Parts: sequence; structure tokens; C-alpha cells
Amino acid sequence: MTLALATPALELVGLRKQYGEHLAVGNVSLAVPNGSLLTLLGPSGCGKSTLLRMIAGFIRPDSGSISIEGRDVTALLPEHRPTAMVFQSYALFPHMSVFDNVAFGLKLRKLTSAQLRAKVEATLALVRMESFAGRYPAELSGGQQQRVALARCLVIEPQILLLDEPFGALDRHLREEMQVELRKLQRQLGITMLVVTHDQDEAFILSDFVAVMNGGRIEQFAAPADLYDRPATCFVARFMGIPNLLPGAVAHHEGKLLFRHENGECIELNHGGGMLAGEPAHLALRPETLRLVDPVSEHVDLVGTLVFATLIGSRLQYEVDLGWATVQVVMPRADQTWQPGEWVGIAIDRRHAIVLSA
Amino acid sequence: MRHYLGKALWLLFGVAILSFLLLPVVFTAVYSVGESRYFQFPPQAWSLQWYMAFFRAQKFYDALINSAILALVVTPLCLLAALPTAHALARYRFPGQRWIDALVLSPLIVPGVITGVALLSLFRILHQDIGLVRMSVAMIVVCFPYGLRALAANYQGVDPATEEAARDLGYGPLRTWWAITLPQLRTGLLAGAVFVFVEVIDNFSVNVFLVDLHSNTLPIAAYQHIRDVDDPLVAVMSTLLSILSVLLVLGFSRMMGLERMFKSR
Amino acid sequence: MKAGARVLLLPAAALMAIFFGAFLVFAAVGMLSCAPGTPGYSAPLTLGNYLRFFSDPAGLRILGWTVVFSLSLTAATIVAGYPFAYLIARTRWAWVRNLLLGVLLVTFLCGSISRAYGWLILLGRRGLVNEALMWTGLIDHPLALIYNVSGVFIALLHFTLPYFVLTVFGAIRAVPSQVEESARDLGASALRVFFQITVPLTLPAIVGGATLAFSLAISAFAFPLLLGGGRVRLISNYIYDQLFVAFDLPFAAAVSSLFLLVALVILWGFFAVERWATRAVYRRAG
Repeated sequence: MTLALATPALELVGLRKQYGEHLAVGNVSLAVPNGSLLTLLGPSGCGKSTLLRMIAGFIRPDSGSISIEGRDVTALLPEHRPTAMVFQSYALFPHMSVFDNVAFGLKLRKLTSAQLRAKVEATLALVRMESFAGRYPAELSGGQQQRVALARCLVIEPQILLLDEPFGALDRHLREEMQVELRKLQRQLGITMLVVTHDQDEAFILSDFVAVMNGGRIEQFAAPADLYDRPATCFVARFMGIPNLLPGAVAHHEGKLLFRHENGECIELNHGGGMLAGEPAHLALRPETLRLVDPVSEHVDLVGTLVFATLIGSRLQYEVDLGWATVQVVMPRADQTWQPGEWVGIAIDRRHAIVLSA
Repeated sequence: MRHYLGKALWLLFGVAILSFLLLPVVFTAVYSVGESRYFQFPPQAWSLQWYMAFFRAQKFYDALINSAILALVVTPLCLLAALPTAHALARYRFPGQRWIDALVLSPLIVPGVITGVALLSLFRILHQDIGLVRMSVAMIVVCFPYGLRALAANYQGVDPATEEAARDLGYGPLRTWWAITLPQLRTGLLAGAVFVFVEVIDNFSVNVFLVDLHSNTLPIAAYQHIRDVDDPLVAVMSTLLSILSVLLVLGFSRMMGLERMFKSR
Repeated sequence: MKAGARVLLLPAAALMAIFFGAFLVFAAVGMLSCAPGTPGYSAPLTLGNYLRFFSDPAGLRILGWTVVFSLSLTAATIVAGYPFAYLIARTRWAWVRNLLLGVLLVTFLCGSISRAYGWLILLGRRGLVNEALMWTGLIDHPLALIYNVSGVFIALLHFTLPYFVLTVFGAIRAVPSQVEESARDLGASALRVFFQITVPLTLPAIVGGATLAFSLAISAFAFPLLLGGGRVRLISNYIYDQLFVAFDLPFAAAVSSLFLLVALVILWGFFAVERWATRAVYRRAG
């Protein structure tokens, strides 16, 4: 990592949490550069929320350490950590007005009431909620509640802002709007943020870095573009929406790298991620990087029966039965149309074929 | 046609039950403002003389004071004991929790006379003869479940995340409880206070075993009066209690709505 | 258990210690004998008091009668209370709902002695009910409505009804009216919907409310005392008499222990039915 020389805003070393038989978080190490936004991405139950709550101090790790700006906070109670968290349910105080909600964290500081008022109003203005200061949480829409929850955290100027599925309760339109807004705010304030989400698109819109989690472990830590182009494991590939994962093995032949699929046939590849010959592997293929071709043409890599075609706007999605696997292909509608039942060939764009260890 | 018949039957039924519920209350009130010593309907003359008599009667005055002392001592103590219990039951998971739940509510199930006899046996052994002390202890034990149930129901509605949010913003556990949890328990505290208060004022079957010569409560004084005298003084007492209940109910529907009140019972 | 929880449970533990401690003392007192002529009692320990109750046909009859009476009262409470709760839950007008709830709450709050007294006035020989019946010419002589079972029954029904209705009302409210409407839509008659959809779905609450009504009925003391005029005696009154007429605390304690046992066994039965009903509803609801 290029920023590794500076002290990371947040550093996790060997964090682990086990509940009985269930390993919630297993040996997670992570460094988040100052001023960046990291997303913990994964399906529900993958340990991402547990990890977030450990950082906030609500869950004590079995082992490992948490450092914020170089200071070990592992043993500190939540109230002594320089973090602030936006809860999934927002957790606004229902018995306090918007103003009092935001002022809550400041009450512990020695501020004059004028200073306090100025700070709260400035923060409410930042999230465009200044005209709602007198309202109570029950009188606000979901999006407005979310802004207040954000303001309540921002006003105490935490070193790290934690957000647990912050947009989960909003409808799609509002969610997209708020995602962009959060990203702008983060850039503007330069604050380090950690976001937990199960939504891949959200992770891509928001993040500088994404940590994909599965079964309590980090499967891959990368920038969004790298994650999309070069998933490191089958789990990540599937999570990135690659439906085609063909089982097989890596082979070398006369200095060329081959992927031998289950049928016994080989596909020549450009790169294979340093895998050894004979190692079982999966070939990950994005539907958009595949083309249907004449089964007898020379570009054919795979052949099978076209079983189904679905129209998705300007494109067509084909489902091809290879006999040993099913492959999805997406092509522009304008190209030659193929009929279900037809025997077709598939051409692979080798630049986008990824070999993953099984 | 059948539709209207159904409607009419429902209406009839509703009115019937409603009058069943209201009749004793209403006619006690009518009796209390009549001039006659014996019940007449309709009364031949209206008068407030029995109200004057009620407030002049030393035994009712004493009973009123005793009941008030009892209620004012027991209600806050019950809620003070119920608060930490409700917190533990709502915020901690521990083995045998279901048993503790059932155990804590058991004074609700045991018939009052039995509780009365049992506590009387205990107090005899402890040589505790002061009626107000005995009744205070008994009422705290007996009413504790009322307070607990109201608070436990309220605790369900307090999002633990609001407490975490306060911790996260720098508040320690006690300050968090004070600033965030307690204010959200207002409904439960209010409902619990009312249920405990009403039970203390109304309890007869436990207190009748524990009372001494100087500490008659209102129900006990009323019972003795009904047994010995035939005049509307008890009707006056009942009517005053009913007016108090109506005021309480109106207050609640203003403050939190009746439906919410019942959820905490 | 965490230390924090243990500290928080201390007040409850102290109260429970008093409560159950009292029961220990009292079960033991039941094994002592009454010292004749004094309110005290003395050793030796004996099961005599317990045995005495079993050989006393009057006492046994009262206990059995109390159970039968309480069960009938529970049944009456369900029959009168459930439709009323349904009416409150399903009325289209909020003011009707608030009015009915308010009346229930006032009845509930204004005290048992007051209400027993109210019925004493209403049902007495010169009471409103008899006056009204005579005025309509239905009867020539006043009916004996108090100092017998009917008076106690009516007044106790008045006492248990609010508890039951308030318990069941919430459950009926929780059944979405769309469920009933869709059943109507599929061609079921209103009565059919009521008995095949609403009642089964709210069965756990009905049993819960019935448990409450039963425990109130079997504990009844003030109502039979006032309205029974010494002729209607439930077990609570019997125990009271042992204490304040016969001054025999050990025997009263022994009878109370046995009564408690009977009450708990029946209530346990109610709870078992409630659990069964809850499971049945959840299974059906998936």
C-alpha cells in the first residue's frame, strides 16, 4: 500500500472473536489509511458487523489488538474511544429534539452555550437539516433521520466514523442520493470512515478500499476497480456478480498456460496468477466478456446448446448449456440473434478471463 | 337486511355490557348525592350532606391518611426495586432467566388470603406488630410484579442501540442510563406507578390479616362500615375513588393514549 | 451470570426471599398445634392439621365448590368478554374504542370494595334491579339476589371482565383485519370467519385472559364476604374464619397450604394449555 509509511488511522492486528462453536471474526488484520473510506463488504453473518462493533468497543475481542492513530484502544470502553457510529436503526434518542440529539455528545465538553449552539447549527447545516432543529425523530423521514444520526457523530469530530449499513432502511432512489452525498462529505471533511454493507454497488460508489469478508475472514482487500477486475477468490468473484465459474484445473503445455476444464478440453490463457500445473481451479468469466459465435468458426472456446434468451434493455442475456456447466453470455441486441435450441459456440476474451484457485 | 340485524345485535350487546360495567359505579354515585339514608331511586332530594359526613368521620379520615401513607411509601419503593430487575431481565442473558421471570411474577398468582396468612405467620415469628410496617412490606412484595411488568414491557421498546449510541458519544454506563434509558421509560414508570398505587389503595385480602387496631386502610374501614352501619358513607368513598379514576384515565388518554397504557399492563 | 446482573437482581431477590420465606414459615406453622385459648401456637410438629382438613367434609366441600365456582365464572367471563373485546378492537370509530376502553379502565381502577358495594345497592331487596323487575310486572316479590351465589357471581364477573377484555383486546387488534376481510372475500360468512379465523388466532390470549380471570376468581375474598352474607363462603373466607373466628392460625396455615397447592396445580394446567395454544397458532402461522 502506498500510504503504508504514514501511521494508519486504524490498524487491526489478528482480531478474533468466537461465540461457542461459531467463529464470528477470525484473525483479521487490516490497516486503514488516514482520510480514506473503507467498506467492509460481505453477506449477512460474515462477521462485518461484529468487526465494526469491536472497533467501536461494544464487543471485546478474544485476541488481537485495535489501534487508532497509533494508540492501542483494545482495552478501552466505547465512551473512551475516538470513534463515533451511525447505527443501522439510526438509534436517535426519541425523547430529544434534533438539536438536542446533535448536541448530546458535545454536552460532555466544556463549551459555552453559544459555542455549543454554533457548533450544532454548523453541523446541521452541513447535512442540510438546519431547519429541522426543533423537530423530534418521530417527525422525520428515514432520510432525514439518517442525516441527523450522521450529524450527531460528525459534531464530536471523531477520528474514525463507523457506519453500520447506513442506507439499508432507505428506498433505492434516496439511497443512491445519500451515497453520493456521504462520499462528497467524506472528501470535504477528510474524515476516516468505515462502512459496513452487503451491497456491492454501494461499496463501489463509496469506497477507496473494500474488504470483502466471508466466514469471519477477509477474503480480499483492494480498491474497488481491482476488486472488480481481479477478484482473488471464487467467493469474491461470485460476490462481484460473476455467474460463470467453470470448474477445472491449470495445466502447462509447451510454455503455454492452459485451463483444462472438466470435459478434458483445454483453453489457452494469457495469465494464470502463478498457479502450479495440475492445481484444481475455477475459470471466472464475466458474461459481458463472452460472445456467441458460429460453433464451427475458429474462435470457438466452448460449445453448447442455447437454452434461453432474456431481453435486458438494449442487451440480450443468453443461457448456454455446455453439458457439464451452464454459462451466461450477455451481448448487445443488435448483433446476430440466436434462437433457443441452436448449437452455438462461445468465444472468450482472454484479457478478462480469470483463473482462481478452487 | 341480515347486515342490519347483525349491526343491531352488536349494538345491543355493546350497550348491555357497557351498562353492566357502569351500573354499580353510576348508582353508587346517585346514592351518595341523595338525601336519604337508604337507597332510593330516583332520590327524592339531592344533597351533599353525606360528603360532609364522610369528611367529618374520624375513622374514614384516619383510614384515608393510612392508605395515603401506605401508597406513598410503597409506590416509589416498588418502582425502585423493579427498575434494576427490569434492566437485568431486558439487558442481560443468563441461565435460568425464564425461571426468574416466573418466580418474580409469582405474587400475582398466589391468592391474596394465602399471602396474607403467610406474611402474618412470618411477622409473628419476627415479632413485628406495627400494622403500617407489616402492610408496607407486604404491599411492596405483592405489588412488585405490577411495577415490573409495566417496566419490562417498556424496556422492550427501548432500542439498546440508543444506549450504545450514547456510550459511543462518550457517556459512561450510569450517565447513559440516566440521560437515555430512564427518560424513555416514562410510560412504563407512569403505568407501573398507577397499577401499584391502585393495588395498594384497593388491597383488602392481604392487608386485612396484617392491619392492627390503629392502621385501618380505606377498604378495611369501608368493609367494617358496611358490616355495621347502613348509610351512604361508603357510597361517598366509592364515588370519590371513581372520580379519581376518571381523572386518571382522562389524564392518560391525554398523555399517552389508552392503547399504549394497556400494552404495559 | 455476570456480576452486573447479579447486583441488579438484588432487590428482587430480597423481595422474593421475604415472599417465599413467609411461605416456608407458614407451611411449618401448619404443622404446629394451636395453644388453646391464646393466639399463639406450640410444638410438637405434627401433620394433624393437614389430616384434619381431609377428614372435614365441610372444608373439602368448600374447596371443591370454590374450584367449580371459579371455573364457571371463568367460562362466563370468556363468553361475555370475548365479543366485547372484539367489538372494541374492530369498531370503526376511534371514539367508541376510546370510550369503551376508558370505561373499562375506570371500572378496573375504582376498587373492589367500591364495586362490591355498588352491587350490594343494585341487587338488594330495595335495589334497582328488583324495583325495575317489579315495575315491569315480571315479579311480584323482590328476588333474593344478594346473600346468595347469584349476587357473588354477578359482582365477581364485573370484577374479572375488565382484566379479561384488556388482555384479549390487544391480541384481536394484532390480527390484521385484512385477514378477516380476505376470508370474507373468499365467501366465508361473518360467523364462520369469527370462529374459524379470529378465535383460533387469538386462542393463546383467550387462555391467558382466562388464566387471569380464574386466578382472580379463586382468590376472591372481599366479594363473597360482602355479597355472600356469610351464606356463600369460598375457601378464602373459610381460611379467614379459621383465623379470626376460631383463632387457629396453624389450621388456617395448613388449609392455606393445601389450597395453594390446588390453585397452583390448576393454574399450571391453564399455563400448559396456553403454551399448547401458542405453539399451535405459531405452527399454523408458520
